[in-house]
Amino acid sequence: MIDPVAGSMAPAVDPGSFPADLSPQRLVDVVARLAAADLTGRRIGTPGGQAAAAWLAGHLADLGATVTLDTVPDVIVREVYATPTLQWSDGATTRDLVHRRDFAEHLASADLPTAARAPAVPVDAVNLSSSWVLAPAYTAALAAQAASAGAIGLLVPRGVDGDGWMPKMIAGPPPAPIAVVSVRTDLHRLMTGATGVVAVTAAVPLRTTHVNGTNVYAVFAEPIGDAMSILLTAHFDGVGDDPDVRLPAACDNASGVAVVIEAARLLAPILPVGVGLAVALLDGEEAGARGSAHHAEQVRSGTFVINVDGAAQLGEAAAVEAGGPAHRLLAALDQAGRAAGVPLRAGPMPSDNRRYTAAGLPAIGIGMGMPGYQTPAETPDRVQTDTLIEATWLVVATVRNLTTTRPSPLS
Amino acid sequence: MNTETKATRGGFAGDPAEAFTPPAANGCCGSPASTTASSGAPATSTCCGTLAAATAAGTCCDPVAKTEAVAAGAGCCG
Repeated sequence: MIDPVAGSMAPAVDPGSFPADLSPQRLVDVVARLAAADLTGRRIGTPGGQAAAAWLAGHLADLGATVTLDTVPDVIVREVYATPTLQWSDGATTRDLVHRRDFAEHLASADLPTAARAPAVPVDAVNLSSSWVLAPAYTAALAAQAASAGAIGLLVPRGVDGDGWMPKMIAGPPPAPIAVVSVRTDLHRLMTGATGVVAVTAAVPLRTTHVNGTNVYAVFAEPIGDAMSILLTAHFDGVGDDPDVRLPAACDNASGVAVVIEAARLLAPILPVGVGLAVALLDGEEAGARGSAHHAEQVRSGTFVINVDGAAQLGEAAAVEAGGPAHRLLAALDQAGRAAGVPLRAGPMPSDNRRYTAAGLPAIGIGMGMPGYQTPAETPDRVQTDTLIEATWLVVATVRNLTTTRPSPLS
Repeated sequence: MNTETKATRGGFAGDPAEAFTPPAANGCCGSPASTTASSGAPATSTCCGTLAAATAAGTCCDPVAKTEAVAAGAGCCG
């Protein structure tokens, strides 16, 4: 379907003949490199994140781009600096729970560096002092009330994903005045329903840090005059490894980075003369899309932005969100999807594309799946090569359509 | 690759313009392939809200939706 305001539609790019030199191996290699152990999950502000930026800069330079690094200053993250622990006993049985399987740090938690042992009591108990409080949900008001009553912390229920993990996040609110622990729902129910005295021993080593990140910009072709300019973006940061467990971030978003780099490599030699082509590999998305917020204000007005966040498992259709004056871009994407055989659906993409939209730029975000999302299960083997290929194909064909069709007076 | 078959399945099934107003995010940052909660409260609750709410607030995610996600322990990426 073509949006009537999107402009003239030239025949779609023939997917059978284009792009012939797409390299699946290059795609897979980029994912494997970014997910490697020495990059430690690529959290912003860590040596692993900095090493990832340096490697990407070198890789893009090797492809012939002019590369610059840009510091993203003063980004706030919540850091698990030691493995949280949780043990509970009902008098008859003592259980040591497993971090991120059975429980996890709550992002609003205060730092509790050493384990505190205390009875667990219901939230409506008369005396909360020196206790862990079993609450049905977290609220800031409840945390403040429990803290003023002298409680050690809150225990609140949380579910797990399809693989039994609690996904990790690093962008959180200001910490509450007491510790807060998320406990797997069924275990929380067991604690709440226990007939004997429940004792809990828990530590939540979680602190707030201020870090600097690094965006990687690569220009493959400067626009000439007021010619069209294309910006391909993907964030390369992850939530970072836990102290004792790897979170490789292969899907979110090594896969998107691989797609953007390969698409730029394919497009650079074939775009019409004068059309600008650049890549921005962004830091700090997991900390609140900070890298793109920093970059968006620097981008030339009218630049078309295509952001890829997740290209690991297509499923039924790619999720697409559009913002700003993006009708023409969206039409080019639709046309590319039909030509390349990639199904598309309108879906939320709350990622870096929204920062470019907020800056008034025509921007679309594309998501093609993130199995194992922000858990240890997000490994390179879960990134489907076919999805990497389809995503690359989609981006390349979209840009080709965009640069070879003329806009209508309404677009 | 079978071009004929893929050409019939590709592109938007509906109006592409719906991409300007997608539904609120169920999960955060993209379209995770596996977000089904296996026990009780969702691991990744609706957290990032709508584009309109995020744009109005000048942020990546709807502040209200983000607050709710944090309260549920899932957090939010943007």
